[in-house]
Amino acid sequence: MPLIEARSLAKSFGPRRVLEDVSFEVGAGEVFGLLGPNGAGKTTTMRLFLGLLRPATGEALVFGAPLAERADLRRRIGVLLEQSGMADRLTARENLAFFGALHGVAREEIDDRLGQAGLLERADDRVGTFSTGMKRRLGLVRATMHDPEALFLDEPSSGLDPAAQAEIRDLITNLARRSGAAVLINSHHLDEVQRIGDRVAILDGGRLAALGEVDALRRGAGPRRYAIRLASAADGLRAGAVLRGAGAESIKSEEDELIVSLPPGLAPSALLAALVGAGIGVEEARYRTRSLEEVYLAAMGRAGA
Amino acid sequence: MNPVLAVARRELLVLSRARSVVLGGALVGLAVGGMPIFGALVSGEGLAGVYLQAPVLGVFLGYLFSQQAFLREKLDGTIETVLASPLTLSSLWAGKVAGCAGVAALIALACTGGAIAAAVLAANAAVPVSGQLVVHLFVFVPLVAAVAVGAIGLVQLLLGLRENQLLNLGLVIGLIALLSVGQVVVGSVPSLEVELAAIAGLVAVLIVLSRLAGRVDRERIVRTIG
Repeated sequence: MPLIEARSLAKSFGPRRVLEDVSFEVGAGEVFGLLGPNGAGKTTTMRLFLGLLRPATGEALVFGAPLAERADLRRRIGVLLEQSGMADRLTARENLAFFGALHGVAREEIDDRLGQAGLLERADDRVGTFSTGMKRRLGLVRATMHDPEALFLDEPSSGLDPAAQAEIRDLITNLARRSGAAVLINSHHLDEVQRIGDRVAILDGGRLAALGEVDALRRGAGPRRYAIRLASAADGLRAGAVLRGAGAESIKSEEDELIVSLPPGLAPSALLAALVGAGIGVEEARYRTRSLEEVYLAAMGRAGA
Repeated sequence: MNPVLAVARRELLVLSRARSVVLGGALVGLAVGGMPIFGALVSGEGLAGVYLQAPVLGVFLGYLFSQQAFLREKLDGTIETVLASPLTLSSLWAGKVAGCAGVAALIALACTGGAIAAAVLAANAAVPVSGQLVVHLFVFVPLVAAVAVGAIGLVQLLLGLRENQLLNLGLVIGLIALLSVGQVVVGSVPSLEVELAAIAGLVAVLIVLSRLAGRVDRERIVRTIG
């Protein structure tokens, strides 16, 4: 059974439809990225899962049930939204003690987690004095200190320096892989989702524009692409002609590489053999996958894949 | 820890950081509650005034401390996280009522007690403290403060945590008017039966308010966040 599941989810605010027929599921141990531009419906989707909004039609299920009326199920989730969820007037320890009391986390455990996040020295300082990055780290401690089975993260690394972003990526990956938690991430950080996400959904105007495994989406549904770097850039024109002669399609030059579409049945080795046979040196050759950014832009209809 | 106690404890911590509000409340308590009680005792009028002054003070202080208690969750950006936690809305409401009303009642009692002690020390005034007065101060006053805080909290939840001072003041003035009318009807010193009936009524009102708070639509609150 998926731990997080959207079934034909739709939501309207008055006459405005903000989400339309969105379906996906997140299983145990899976990191799922929800991508899309501002206003695409990412935050609304997350609020629907958390039981903060009611769906117009469809269902937003966590552990097989809507969370709105199930305080017992909410005990098993972790949440880090756009704001850290901490009272500025209280200290880090007091804030965590409050949420720890709701989730049954012992005080010693809270100190351990603060220590792991490098915040123990500031445990008795008011959260209002913390930098954005520190608040984010503290928010992540709050969201994960009870080892949740499902984790909902809205822009988890926003405002963090690269080192802290890497730490958070490790933490999320560990939670998913070691504890088997299902992780749903709303993010604009395509690079981050590409690194840690198993699957993604791309929302555009409240509709699913793409859904699938990150690797599959990056490979794309069209012909496989192959990148060839020549030993000498001066051979570029001649190499194009040789590759076309060998059966390659759609040869494009990107930076210092030739990107070749392989029609079904044509092996890259045949292309390389043709080039070498024509006396053209090849420095490097490999399959070329799209970046998640390219997938995203293609799904948005803003660039060719 | 019980979730209501966890919220109440958090509310007390937040109030302890808002010292100017608490000290301001204590000063108002001394001026509005303590001094009239002191004057009445010194002039030989006895403790009859306490039966109205102390609960009115509790209501007013409850209003003072609860104004931001619910709205703060939205201003601090904590409301969505709190709503997504295992807390129910009625537990959140009850914890905040317990925290704010507890402090309000404590200050109201301290001002009343201080005034009585001052009258005894300064003028050697006679203080006929009865069991009924003790019940009034230690049960009726906290409960009436809790009703004031609870009503304000419920209205704020129903409004989606949007501020409406006029409505808050209307509730407080309405409660104070009810207390005043009640005293006119039952006399300045109510009988023990009346006191107990009033306490039962306040408990019933709190139960109703708690049920209503638990039924507030979360979406009503979240949609005001944007």
